[in-house]
Amino acid sequence: MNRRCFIKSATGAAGSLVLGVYLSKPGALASEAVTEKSPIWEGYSPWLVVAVTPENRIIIKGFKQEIGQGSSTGAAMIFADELGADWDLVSIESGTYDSRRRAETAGKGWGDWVGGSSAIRYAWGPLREAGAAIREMLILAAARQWGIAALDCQIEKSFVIGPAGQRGALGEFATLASEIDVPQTVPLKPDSELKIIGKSYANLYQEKHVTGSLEYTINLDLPDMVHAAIARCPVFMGKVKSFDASKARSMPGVIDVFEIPEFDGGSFGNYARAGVAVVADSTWRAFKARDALEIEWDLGPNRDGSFDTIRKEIEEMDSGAMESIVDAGDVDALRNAEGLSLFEASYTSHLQEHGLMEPLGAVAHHHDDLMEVWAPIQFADRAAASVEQRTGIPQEKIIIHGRPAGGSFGRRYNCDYIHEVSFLAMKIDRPVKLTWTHEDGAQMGNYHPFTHFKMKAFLEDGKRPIGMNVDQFKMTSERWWGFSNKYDVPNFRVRGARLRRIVDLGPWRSVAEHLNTFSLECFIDELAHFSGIDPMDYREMYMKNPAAEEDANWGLLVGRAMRVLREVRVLSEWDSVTLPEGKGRGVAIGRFNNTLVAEVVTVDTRGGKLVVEKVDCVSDSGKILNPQMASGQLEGGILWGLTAVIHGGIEVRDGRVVESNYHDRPLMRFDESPHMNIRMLESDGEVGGFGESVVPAAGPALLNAYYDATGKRIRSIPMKWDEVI
Amino acid sequence: MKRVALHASHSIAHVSRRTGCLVVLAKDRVRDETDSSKTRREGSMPVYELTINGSVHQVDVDAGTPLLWVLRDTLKLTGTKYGCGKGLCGVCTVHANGMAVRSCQMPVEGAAAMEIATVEGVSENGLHPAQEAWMEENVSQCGYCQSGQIMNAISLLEMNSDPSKAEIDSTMRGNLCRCGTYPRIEKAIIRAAKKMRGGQS
Repeated sequence: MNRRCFIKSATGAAGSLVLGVYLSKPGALASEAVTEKSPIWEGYSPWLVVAVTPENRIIIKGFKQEIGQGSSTGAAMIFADELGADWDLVSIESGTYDSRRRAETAGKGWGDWVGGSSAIRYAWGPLREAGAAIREMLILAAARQWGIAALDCQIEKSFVIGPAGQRGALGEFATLASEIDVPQTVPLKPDSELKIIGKSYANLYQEKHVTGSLEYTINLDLPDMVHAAIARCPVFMGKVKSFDASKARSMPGVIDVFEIPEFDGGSFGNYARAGVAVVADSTWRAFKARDALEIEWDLGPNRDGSFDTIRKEIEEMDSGAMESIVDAGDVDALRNAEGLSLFEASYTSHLQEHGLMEPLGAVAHHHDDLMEVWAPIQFADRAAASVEQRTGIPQEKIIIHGRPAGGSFGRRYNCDYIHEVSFLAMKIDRPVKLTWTHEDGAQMGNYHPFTHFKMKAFLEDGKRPIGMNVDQFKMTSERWWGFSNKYDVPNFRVRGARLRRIVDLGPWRSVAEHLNTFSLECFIDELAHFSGIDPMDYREMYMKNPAAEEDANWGLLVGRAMRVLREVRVLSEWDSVTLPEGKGRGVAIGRFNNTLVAEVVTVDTRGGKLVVEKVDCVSDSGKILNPQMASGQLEGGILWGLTAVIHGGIEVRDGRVVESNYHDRPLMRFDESPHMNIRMLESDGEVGGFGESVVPAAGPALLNAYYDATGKRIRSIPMKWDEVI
Repeated sequence: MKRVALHASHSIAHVSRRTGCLVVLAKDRVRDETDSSKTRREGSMPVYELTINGSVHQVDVDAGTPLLWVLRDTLKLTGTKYGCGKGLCGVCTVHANGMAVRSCQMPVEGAAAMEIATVEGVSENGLHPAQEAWMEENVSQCGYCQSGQIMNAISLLEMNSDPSKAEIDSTMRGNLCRCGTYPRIEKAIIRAAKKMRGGQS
């Protein structure tokens, strides 16, 4: 992967050095002066803009969207370290995405895309190169000014230091540096000289968090802004038959009421439901007037959607009609083979919702042929494409202002709310803020795909899994189809069948890994118990051999899997502590990209209540950029994974989502949070991602623990719907 | 929590741990239906008088508007957040006469009788010890729930300077966090309690 970047520099307002960092642009770029009249960021379409100000501050603008994963702080750390900046003088700002920027980052899937726990991993190279190049430009500028050799100078804590005690703030050399050609290749600092990377610095947005002043979209207030709420069809893909807005229109502050047609963006998670929009002079009034609408719905093709329709689809599915996803060896031949035991089990992962604390919403203003959108998006490109799709406004006229999100976890990646706000902005001549209620979010979600797994294993000598068949029934598109196996099963087949989409679907923290790890790690656990072998031993015995893996990356991953399994065994005192009756523990290994995580969950079921007492967790991610932020992601991800099992789950009944708020779609609360022992291993290789890494293993480890405690095998996430499908 | 013997002229009282003052809501300050000093009718629009962070505001909103929306949309104090609207998540937590309440469940009429403090108010003279503790423990991830968490924690610590784990649990279980920062919130509360006991600002 080409991770080189190019830099374009200029003198910004009042003597700042403004550098645009491009992911790739053919040819080197010369410095270009920007007149004092131009705003500091004007005229640039780079991936990242860095300013060195006369006050010696470093401002980094436009790194990816902040959704709570802390990657903008991480990016700043990488850049600042290579440059030699004083961390206390570094600050960050959200980016503005216009078409020129998108031309720059388009096709580089990792350019503006927030997801896949990948931000730091992909940005590592470009950020270090940018930091190094800018370091050299400033050193050259200082050396010229002092009349000495650049070789003798260095940058420390935002000052250029000369050999004879010369000392100058970076800000002093900004203007001079902008006249220096951007160097094309600069050596990066050796690891021994890194001072910021690897340290537990605080999230740069922290003070705004504790004072409640971070610029969430829902807090945006623009002059002349109006507020909108939409009553959407309660059934996916239904339509408005008729509506009576007379009561709503008569309510105070109501400005307009109109129908909003459904819009199918053509991919899962990009469908905006049909409904009726209310525009009012405050959020509360918009909500109240919306409640006063009388709407008759044509509930559409999914009016019957329910557990029953799903169950029927699965039962009636012909295995011959299933699609082949993985087919190694010959599973069918094993059916007639001698001396093999057959073990079967089925698992169901139900629909899950994101449960975001900042409700969905966005602000848009259509003016002077431009469409400006302010939104907590996860992918600027996709948001802009959605605006164009919905309105026909060309890309050059679309500006997306990224705002930090009150959580996203995949939900805001989809653009149904962008389609909606674009439509509203075309109808209304003023800035319009669309706010979803919490209930809207719960009931009109883009859910984690419903998946049912039928698993079959053929065991040699009653223990070794030499054959495995996985049939998965998934309410999804092909995106979440794949299923990889860390265990050495020479005859391994995965087949898939798509279930009818009765609600819309989208990415949910750890996506397909969550689904596959659940079924595989519970199934392996059951095989271990069936064989009479300790679940840790069993996993170790039948894990793939890292050295034998032809695929170097897969070998690396399997090696890490083994390592974290062995470490969590020690950390959890698996062999040294015996638990009393009613308590149990279970293990599972999960991954996301190249980060492997093993977890042991300890539960207490005495007194008839399930208490998650402790989670022991070991990760191996390669390098770690910021240990406290990484462990924060692990702590939060553990709670995410456990919540889905204990409290989560979305039911569709007569086409409507049943759950609506935190009373019937609860989250784990403060007093349910287990004690967590977390150990993060570092190993050779790239810096690894953390956001999703710990989620996949949490659920199966919990279910395995529950079995250990009670002898009852629950094969469903959430637990409460065991055997419903 | 120290309680004073309630007199007929008092409705609720506690000692503020922060200031050491007895905070009392005197009955004659409770809005009385016949008391015209708190509501005036100009034409047919009610105007409510609210005391927010020590300042008095006249707000022109519909009867029954939750305090949350008065704060956010009318007064532009967006530190207090909308999360669930049903009193289930705690992100809208403010102080009413020093007690943590869910502003999404408090109609403006009820708020008019009280001294309301929001997160903007607690940091008026630099960060509150709880906010400092939150930062020292690196609590926040997306940050959205944290102002509500902090307001609830401050209310607990002003009444109970050395809460037990069980007391922290039973108070803080009222505040949800989707990012899962509970382990660090607990550490921050213990740290904040120490600071407040030690008299550090």
